[in-house]
Amino acid sequence: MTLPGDWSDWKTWAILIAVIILLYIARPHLQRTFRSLFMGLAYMLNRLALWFGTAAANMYAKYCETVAAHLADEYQDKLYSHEARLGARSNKHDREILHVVGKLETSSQEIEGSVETLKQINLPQTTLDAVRMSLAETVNAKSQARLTSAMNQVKRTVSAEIQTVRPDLQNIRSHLKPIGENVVKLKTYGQEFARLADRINSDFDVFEESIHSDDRVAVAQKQSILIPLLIALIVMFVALTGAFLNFFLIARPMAEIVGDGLQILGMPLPTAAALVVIFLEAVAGIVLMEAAGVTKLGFFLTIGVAGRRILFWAAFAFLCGFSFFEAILAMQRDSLIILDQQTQVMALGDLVVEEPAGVSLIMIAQIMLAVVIPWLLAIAAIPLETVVKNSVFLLRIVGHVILVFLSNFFRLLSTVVKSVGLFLLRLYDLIIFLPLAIEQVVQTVRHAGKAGKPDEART
Amino acid sequence: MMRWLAAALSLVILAGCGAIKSNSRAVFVLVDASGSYARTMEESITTSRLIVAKLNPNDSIAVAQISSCSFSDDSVVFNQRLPGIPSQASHMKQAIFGALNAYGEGFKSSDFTDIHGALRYAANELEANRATSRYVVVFSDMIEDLAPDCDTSELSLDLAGITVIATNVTKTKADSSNPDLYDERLATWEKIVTDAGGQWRHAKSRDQLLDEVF
Repeated sequence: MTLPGDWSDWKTWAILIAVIILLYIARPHLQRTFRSLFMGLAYMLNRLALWFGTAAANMYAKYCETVAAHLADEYQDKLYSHEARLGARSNKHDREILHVVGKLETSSQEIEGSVETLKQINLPQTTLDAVRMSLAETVNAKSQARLTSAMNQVKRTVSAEIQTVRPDLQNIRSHLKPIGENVVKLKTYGQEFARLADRINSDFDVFEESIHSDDRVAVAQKQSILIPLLIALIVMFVALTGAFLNFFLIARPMAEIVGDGLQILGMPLPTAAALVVIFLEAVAGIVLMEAAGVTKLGFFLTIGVAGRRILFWAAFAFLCGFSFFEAILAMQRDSLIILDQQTQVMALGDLVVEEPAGVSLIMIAQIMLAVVIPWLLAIAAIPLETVVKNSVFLLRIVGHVILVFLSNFFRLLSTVVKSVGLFLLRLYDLIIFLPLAIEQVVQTVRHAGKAGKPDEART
Repeated sequence: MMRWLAAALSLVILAGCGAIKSNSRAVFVLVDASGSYARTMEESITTSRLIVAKLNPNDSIAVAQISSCSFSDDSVVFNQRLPGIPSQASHMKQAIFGALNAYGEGFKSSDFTDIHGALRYAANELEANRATSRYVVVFSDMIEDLAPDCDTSELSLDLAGITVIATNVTKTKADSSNPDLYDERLATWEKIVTDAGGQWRHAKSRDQLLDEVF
């Protein structure tokens, strides 16, 4: 038997021709099927790409809107803070300005008094009177001597008159320096207010823009997400490292309270208890910061001011209690270590050396650390807000990027499927190119025949 | 109040689900008091003290001597369970050291060595203990020399769930001339223990022993 691949055999050629003829006959149906299959698939993929593209755009728009709203919130808080600062400063500055103005008024009155005194001095008249008097007194003297006497008299009189003016001039001079200082002060206040006003205006512009601007993307792009998130994560990491350290400090003495020997989910009971204490401290810290208004995680939106105040003091009391509790545990830990060391020494058959009584420096350090750590955990609640909010933003951005990627991927896939379909159709035609060429020739001849017939009729 | 109730309820639920379990261990120390082994008593007492020192709160410890007829309450030096509170456990450990030292100073060597009876006694005691891991530590040369009136060689043993650790197994003069005897002796005891459902270990040093138990 000959193989179909044996080209020297006529049967192979016969099969090939038969296949080509079959393909030629089935061409319209098969090509339609191919076209439906590939183009339909490509269309579906393209629709999917469009859907993902729309979803990505919607997600980005929502992200921009949320970021803009967050920005508006942030700047609203900033403006409130500016308002409070401005109020406090204006009250202080009002008092200071009043004081400065009072001083200026006093100086001005003093100067006015001095000026009045100076005004009353009529030096020409005084000089004239002095000359007259001198001349009258020296009626019998010679003219030269009379003149000399009169001049001396004038000199004395003018000197005496100027002597009376000097204190007033000194007074004016002494007032000039404080006036200058006060004027500088007023200028400083003015500049400070101008700076603050500029900042307020700038913040207000951003606030306005974040609320009213139609270009939400531009508004969102002004707000950095990653940097505050990274800073917040670093702060949290530091605080949580403290918590981790604390966990090791309290786990051992915790056994004195809850006992040892049991395991919860594979974890020793004192370890589990220490974890619970740390979680409680963290919760108390979060409540404290939220109730104090430092963070705005939104737990207490429905609680009034009085309720918040109660929660604040409750959380504060809890944290104080935890500090005290941890200090006791630190002390207990120290005594446990000493007891264990004594037991080990006795086990080896050595004599136990009594530890000196009193509190060691290490113990003091442990107590201080134990007191501080609950508050450190409370501080960790501050960046928590940024972490939560910015993580949500970041997730949205990541979601947007994934959707954009999917959209592009499906678009590419659609193009590939479409191209593959077209390629297969061309390949199909290539396989049956001979019958197609014959068909084309026949059609051309037939067309030429049809075209020739009217001419013949006409002739 | 509500929080404590919730905590208690959670503990009950966790315990019900098997999430809470004990990780305590029980150690039964058997010290050979026969004349051939008596010279190593000091070493055995020191090692026993170290075992006690490494125990955790809620663990159990018992020390008994292998004597002529060991399946007896008289052979027990002490049998204690440490309190769950670490400081109390440490104080009890120190008290146990005192008891061990007193035993080491006042013990009298026996004429015979009934290891079978001692193992049976230890297994019985450990069976009553609900500890997660149970060990019998044997300080002996592992040469059984039974009294005519106390032949326990055919005594049945049930050592399921128990690890028997032979330590400080000293070599006799006969072993020195034929070391195979020593290995055969240990192999025989290994077979006895494993046939009884227990696990056999031979700790050649103190550190190895402590590593096996802890």
